[in-house]
Amino acid sequence: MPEETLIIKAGSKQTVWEDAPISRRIIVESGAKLLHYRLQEMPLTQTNNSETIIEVQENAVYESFILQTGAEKSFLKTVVNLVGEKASAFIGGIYLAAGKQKLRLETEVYHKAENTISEQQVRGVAADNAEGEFVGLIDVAGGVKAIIGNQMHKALMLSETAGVKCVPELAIASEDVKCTHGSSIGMLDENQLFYLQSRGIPLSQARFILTSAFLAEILNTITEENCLQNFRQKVETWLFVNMK
Amino acid sequence: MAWFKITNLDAGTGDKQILSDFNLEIKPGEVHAIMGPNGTGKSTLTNVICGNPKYTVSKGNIEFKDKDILSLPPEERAGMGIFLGFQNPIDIPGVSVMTFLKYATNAQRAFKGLEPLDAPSLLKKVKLRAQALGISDAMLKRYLNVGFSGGEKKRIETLQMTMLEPDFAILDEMDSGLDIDALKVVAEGVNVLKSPERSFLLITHYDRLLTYIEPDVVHIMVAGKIVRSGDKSLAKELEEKGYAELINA
Ligand SMILES: Nc1ncnc2c1ncn2[C@@H]1O[C@H](COP(=O)(O)OP(=O)(O)OP(=O)(O)O)[C@@H](O)[C@H]1O
Ligand SMILES: [Mg+2]
Repeated sequence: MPEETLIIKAGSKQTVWEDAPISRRIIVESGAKLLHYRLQEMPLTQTNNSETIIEVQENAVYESFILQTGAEKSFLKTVVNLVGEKASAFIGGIYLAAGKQKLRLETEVYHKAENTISEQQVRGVAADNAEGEFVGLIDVAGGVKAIIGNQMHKALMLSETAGVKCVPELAIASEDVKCTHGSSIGMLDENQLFYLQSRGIPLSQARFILTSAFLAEILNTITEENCLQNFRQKVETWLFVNMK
Repeated sequence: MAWFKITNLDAGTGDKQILSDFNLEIKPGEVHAIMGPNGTGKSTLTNVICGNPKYTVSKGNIEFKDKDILSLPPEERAGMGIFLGFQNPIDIPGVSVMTFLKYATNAQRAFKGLEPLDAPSLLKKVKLRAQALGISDAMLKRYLNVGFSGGEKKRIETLQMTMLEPDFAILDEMDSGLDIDALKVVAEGVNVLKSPERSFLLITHYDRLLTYIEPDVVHIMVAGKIVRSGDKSLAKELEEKGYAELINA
């Protein structure tokens, strides 16, 4: 259980950038907004097991993006509790796994108050013999009204030996709820590859372009410009290294 | 050897044979049209010429510019100057039209041993050609083909052709889904490219396209092979009589 606690003061707006996973509690007080950007690019000699627990109070906004590419084995968990009315959370995430890495991204969102909104958008790429996994939960407490919760996971496997798992879970005890969830896992689309090749683009470059585009769609949801550039560059670098 | 020639070609997908003993020769500067009933193998033919790995060739060969191209990957055939305007252009989410044109233009320049085109020149070239085809700046910024209407997709295919200036353009139902004004615009896009060195293979169901782009030869294709060839009057005749009467005649 995390011991450290970070408090985002009522009504304030803050951007927090994490270079490495930190297990801690975060409280986003009423009316505050937190932009939370997190990177997990630990060396392959290490393993990670971390958990962040966020409490989002009345009218507060929690907006987060996670990029996970490091560690031999990683288990990165995020728990969001929407405890005040009109609280909202957006969690975007990318995991990129290569070699023999086993990377797991887990997000749990608990809607504990009325009129709360959550969105989880995760994309993953697994190359070589790597394994990626997304575990996502939307939990709506009994009697809590006017809830919107969306969860989407998409993953690309770049080799026959890579693996991806998705465990989506909905636990809904209320009736006034609009929730969607979905997952799609597959290889690069052959029709798209041929379309690019038919324009003169070599196969290896076509694979690179399509994988990069797959991730660009979700990277483009990052609202903070510097963080966006930073993540974009790290993703491109990973693709260059792992898609020779 | 020949400029473009298909000889005794059998091709298909999986267990299904679609083209059988198919023959076609096109000389530089010629415009050919292929017409034929649905499901007869016209799009399959275009895919086989361009090297779509979904289709396999079991017999025959295809020559282009005195080279056997069947063993070449699709990108090298494109690099030699073959272009396919798709009947059903593919969506590429995450890649804007503009970015895609940059990739394609520079990939083809690389085949010619040329440096990538600098950004301002590329932008200028794209804008000029887009304008001629009635394509807005907003559309150039959108993800390629994602949510585009049928007619918009065909304009974007035409834009790619006018950007890449291929030596041999195969246009698979460029006219389907286009309104009359757009049809004229797209036909104009083809006509400005016409030259003694450049050839076209137009696949169409309608005589109308061929009144805007005049073909030298019209072929009727049925069940995987060409059953009749003639001049442009054949298209008119087909329009009047339909396939059944024409083929049995
Ligand atoms: N990838 C594929 N898998 C299975 N069948 C296919 C495939 N591609 C083509 N076919 C079949 O081969 C036949 C020829 O298809 P093709 O698309 O070449 O026809 P077409 O002449 O272009 O028809 P249209 O005028 O409707 O465009 C059809 O029966 C089609 O269903
Ligand atoms: Mg067709």
